[in-house]
Amino acid sequence: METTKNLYQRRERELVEDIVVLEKAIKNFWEILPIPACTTSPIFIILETGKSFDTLFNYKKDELIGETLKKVSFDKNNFEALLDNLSIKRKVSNIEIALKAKDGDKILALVSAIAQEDDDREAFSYLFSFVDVTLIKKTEEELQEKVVALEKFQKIAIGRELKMVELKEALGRSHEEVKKLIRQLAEKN
Amino acid sequence: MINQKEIQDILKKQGDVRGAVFQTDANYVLKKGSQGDLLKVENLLKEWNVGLQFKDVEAMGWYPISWRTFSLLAIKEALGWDDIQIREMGKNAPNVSIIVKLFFKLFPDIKKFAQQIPNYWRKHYTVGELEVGELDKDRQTMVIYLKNFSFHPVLCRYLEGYFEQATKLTRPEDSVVTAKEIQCSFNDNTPYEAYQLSWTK
Repeated sequence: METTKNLYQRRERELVEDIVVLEKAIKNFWEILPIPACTTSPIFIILETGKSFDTLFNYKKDELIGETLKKVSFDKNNFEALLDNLSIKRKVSNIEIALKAKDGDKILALVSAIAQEDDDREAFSYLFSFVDVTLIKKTEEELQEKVVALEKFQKIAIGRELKMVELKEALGRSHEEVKKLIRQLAEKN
Repeated sequence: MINQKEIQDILKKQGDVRGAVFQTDANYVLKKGSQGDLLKVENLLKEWNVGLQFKDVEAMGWYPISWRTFSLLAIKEALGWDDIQIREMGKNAPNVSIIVKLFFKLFPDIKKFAQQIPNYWRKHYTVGELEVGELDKDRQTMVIYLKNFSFHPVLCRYLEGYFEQATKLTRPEDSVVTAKEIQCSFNDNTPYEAYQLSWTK
């Protein structure tokens, strides 16, 4: 029969083993997660960043830890408004916002975030994800420009077509007039 | 330089420490130096019969408390670092510690943060008690007492930096946070270490 002390020690050992497994899983999760993500404190001090996050913003591993998340904002006012909104609602989804990489490059991203709360519903950390839509937006803009150009071309092409019909009709009318005049001239002679 | 008697005295200390502290030590050595520096530290530890291998450490695993002191002393001795560098290493630790990232609830309300402090200690060590003494919200200061953890002065410098940065993580970006050991069991013969934390915002 297992004594209470042994049972307690065995459970503690098992717990440590489970934690070690979880720790490795979390480490791998941050390493492999394809979506740029990070966690922050309730006042948005960065606590953890994934590899994709560091790659997107061009920072070295752990370089941003302890820094404010506002460091990646492109337009500070917009970004602060997003954070204020998050503080109130505790969750935001797919908010499009301009961000800034270390070298100053503008990044357009869809930001989602959720608060982790304690029993009193007080936020003790936030989890953020940033889906980079810079390329999609650029392609969308280029596509839009092409649509506008196509519409312009279509307008010109249709205008020319109508003009040609008009000219053809005018030519037909002129042709009839000439024939009429020839007939009248022949009758006179 | 540490002598055999000191090594034996440290080895007698009872208790355990989470592996995360050694990972943060290794992180800082690699940040400031190289893999070769880490090897120098491990070789010195081997000379002291301490079987600490940084790469094998599991963050949430428990290790002998004596290793906490040995790790810092070996880094100091093998790399010729001074107290300021040890303090900086302490400051770096909360930024890279998986325990801080997973378990610390860094509430911006300083009173609520203070309530968490004893739990933070328990997440790392099975010995010693970290208690909040005086918290003055108006003067923006707090004194914390570390009891039953009088191991070696090298830990005092390290923890000074650690407490400073852990508090900094709860304050706004432009707040200036400082930690200062105001009473030391080694210098003042007190049964505890006392640290004063102050912040500007």
